[in-house]
Amino acid sequence: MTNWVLACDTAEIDEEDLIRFDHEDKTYAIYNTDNGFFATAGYCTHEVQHLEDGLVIGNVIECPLHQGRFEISSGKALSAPVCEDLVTFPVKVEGDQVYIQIV
Amino acid sequence: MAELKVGTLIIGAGQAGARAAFALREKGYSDSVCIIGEEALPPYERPPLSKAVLRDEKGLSDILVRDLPAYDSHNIQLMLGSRVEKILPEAQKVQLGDGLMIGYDKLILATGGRPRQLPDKVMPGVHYLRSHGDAIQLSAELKQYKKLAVIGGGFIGLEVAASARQMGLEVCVIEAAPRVLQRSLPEKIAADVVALHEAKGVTFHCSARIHGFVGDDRLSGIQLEDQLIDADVAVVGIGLIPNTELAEVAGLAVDNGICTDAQGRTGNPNIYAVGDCANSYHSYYQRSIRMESWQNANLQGEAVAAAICGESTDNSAVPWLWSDQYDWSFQVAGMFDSQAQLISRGSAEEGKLIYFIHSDGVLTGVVGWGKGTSIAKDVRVGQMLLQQGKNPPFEMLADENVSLKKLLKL
Repeated sequence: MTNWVLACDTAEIDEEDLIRFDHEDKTYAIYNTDNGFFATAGYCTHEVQHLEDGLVIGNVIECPLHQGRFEISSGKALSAPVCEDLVTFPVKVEGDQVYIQIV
Repeated sequence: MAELKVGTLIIGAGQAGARAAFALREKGYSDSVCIIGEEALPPYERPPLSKAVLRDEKGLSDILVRDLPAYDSHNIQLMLGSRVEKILPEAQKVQLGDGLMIGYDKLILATGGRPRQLPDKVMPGVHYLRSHGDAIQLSAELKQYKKLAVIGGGFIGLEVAASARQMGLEVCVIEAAPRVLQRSLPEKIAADVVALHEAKGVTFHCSARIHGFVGDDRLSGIQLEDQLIDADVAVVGIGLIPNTELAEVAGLAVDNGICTDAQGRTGNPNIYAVGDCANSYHSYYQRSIRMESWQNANLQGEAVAAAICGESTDNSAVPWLWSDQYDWSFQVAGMFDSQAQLISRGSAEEGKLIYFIHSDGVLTGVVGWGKGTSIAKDVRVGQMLLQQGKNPPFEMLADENVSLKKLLKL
């Protein structure tokens, strides 16, 4: 069963930045990029570190702990020390609200 | 005598050696790769040793550079618990302690370093911290004893001091220089660090000369010139000596580390050196630097892999390191002199303080100090400003209303 969940208002995320979104017992990262809004799992796959303080550069998020990099749209791990991809989630924007689809 | 032959042989199973091995595979290197390590453990990351491992919050499996199946899946052979006796560069072979000879096409020296030691004979209760085994032994004693003396006020010493306070010990730091972090950071920032530790209950003895360890069967104190420090555990963190002996015997140039170019090449076209043991030409600073950092180990591992694969890279990344103490993290980008000018943004009271460091009017470094990872983004942007050679006006750097990211586009 899939479920669209309201994550935030579009204005809550600065341009080329991200915010943390916690829902039930899981945590996510919601991004505002030049190519639109995206969502991934919240924690870096290298260590248990939330990405919320990370730096967004274009379509890349860098972990604040060790500067491991992921492609935001695909979750693909791009550089050491990360080697495991981030899980990504479908996103839709309705009006000024961002929804993510959670399985 | 038994003999093997591999494509690339890596001496040293630490961060730099492991990263070099995986980077070779990522770049499509298809010959055999073998890592030889003296410890019986697979490559692990050292930064957690003075923090989460000491506090028993992480085990070995949590700090491995890669898990064991990854070595199998990348066809990287691990020869652990093996010591290399000597390198025979003309024959392109190394000889192990058990007599086994291993031939190589390319050899990477990732031999790391060992703790600089005090001249005093070590007695039970006195520790050095470099390996996972060291951390486990020290952790056991920190749970059993009450009073820790940290000898050396560098990053490792201060991290151990913070961990021990979190474990409930009385902690003092003994530093030979007039202040802590003298070689690493400007005085004002070091004073901030000391203030945090003092607020947590750590005491400091700077300009302190150690006359010896006191105790019969085990440590009971440390005799300074003018006082006796009561301590039942001590950790000595006074620097690292690069392991260059194999390189020296092999006839490679050594000067505070194994001398290499920006891609890790020694004077021998088939031998490279990476990580703590290497004194490498740094393209950004245009001089040779030996760096002891996690970032440097990774980047140099990648650089030699690129060189071996015939790719062109340069070693131009602005140095970056971090230290976690209590619930604060500390990140440093760049290098600077002790007389540098500081421009601050934010405040420690707000839990997020950034210092931009200028030397002779040029941005040379960024230091962030704050709760959790709150300063990471700003330090990273600062590192990018340095990398791009930007030199934003002081007033813009100091103004919290000015987006640092936008300064990248100036």
